[in-house]
Amino acid sequence: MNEQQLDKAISALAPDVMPERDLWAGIEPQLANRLSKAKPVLWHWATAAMLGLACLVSWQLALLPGIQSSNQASMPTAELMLLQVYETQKANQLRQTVAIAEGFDNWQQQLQVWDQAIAQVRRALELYPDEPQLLAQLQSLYQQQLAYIQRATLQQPLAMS
Amino acid sequence: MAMEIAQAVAAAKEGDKQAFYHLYQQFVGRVYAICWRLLGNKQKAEDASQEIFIKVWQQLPAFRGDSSFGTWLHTIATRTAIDLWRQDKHLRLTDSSDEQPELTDVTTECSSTAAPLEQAIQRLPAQARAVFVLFALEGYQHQEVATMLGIAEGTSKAQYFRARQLLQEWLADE
Repeated sequence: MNEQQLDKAISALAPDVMPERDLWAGIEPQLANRLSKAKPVLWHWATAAMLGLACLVSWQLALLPGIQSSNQASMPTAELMLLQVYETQKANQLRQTVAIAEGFDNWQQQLQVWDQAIAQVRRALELYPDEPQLLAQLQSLYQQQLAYIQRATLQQPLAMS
Repeated sequence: MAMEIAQAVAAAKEGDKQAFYHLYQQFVGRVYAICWRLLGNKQKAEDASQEIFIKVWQQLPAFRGDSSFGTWLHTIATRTAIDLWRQDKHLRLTDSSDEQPELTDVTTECSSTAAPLEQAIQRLPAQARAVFVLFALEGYQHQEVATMLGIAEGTSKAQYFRARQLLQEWLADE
């Protein structure tokens, strides 16, 4: 076979070669996870929004003169009650955790974001003790955090007494 | 056809698996051809093809349409097949045409005159075959082939020359 004949044979080769079996059966099950990965993306946005809120509150507090730190003893009653209720619930939920649900690998980082936001609101409460909107915000953050823990963790059932 | 593919791509980007199946049907022959010709083994080519379509599904949301979907998929397919070719020690270390290739394991759409060439390509030593497939069939330049395979450009040219010589020799005997 000369050069021209080889070139002719090369150009006659089909661009497609079909596999003997249908490969789709091995592909399709692997595709199921793509949509579920949308959740972490949403969480990134939620995280960014939460950090933004925390920064905003922090920035506003920095502009206010005379910020005084206070300890738990001087904490207003309403805030103290919220703190005790939700921190107890959170501790219980975390104690009962036996595994982390799929797609929540960075759950601890997410909890830290909420902790930071909670800390910022509490700093604001030091300036405006028992301020209803701040208390509502604190409660909302705790509820969000508890709901997230509920979704992110697999928990052992409570023992029946 | 182009509009149909564009619609399927748009739907698949949104997570429509049926639309992705349509794309699979359109392109599986092209993807498998690259894998089979490069890897020279039915099972490896099937596994590689599946891996490529899964990769395409995962990367589809990032596909911006700067090139055609076919070109984009072809790039992923070639790179994935080459990665597997490079990982395959057996392929890299075997540089002999003594081994009998798998000759009857695919249904080709090529003409009866092209079928002997298809079989002869599979007889080529691994590196010469990879260079021949990428340069002569997939249209890459020697510099690109050299980069992809991790060899010198001169080696790519030499392997291509060797491949042509062997093919001419074998096809003349038939």
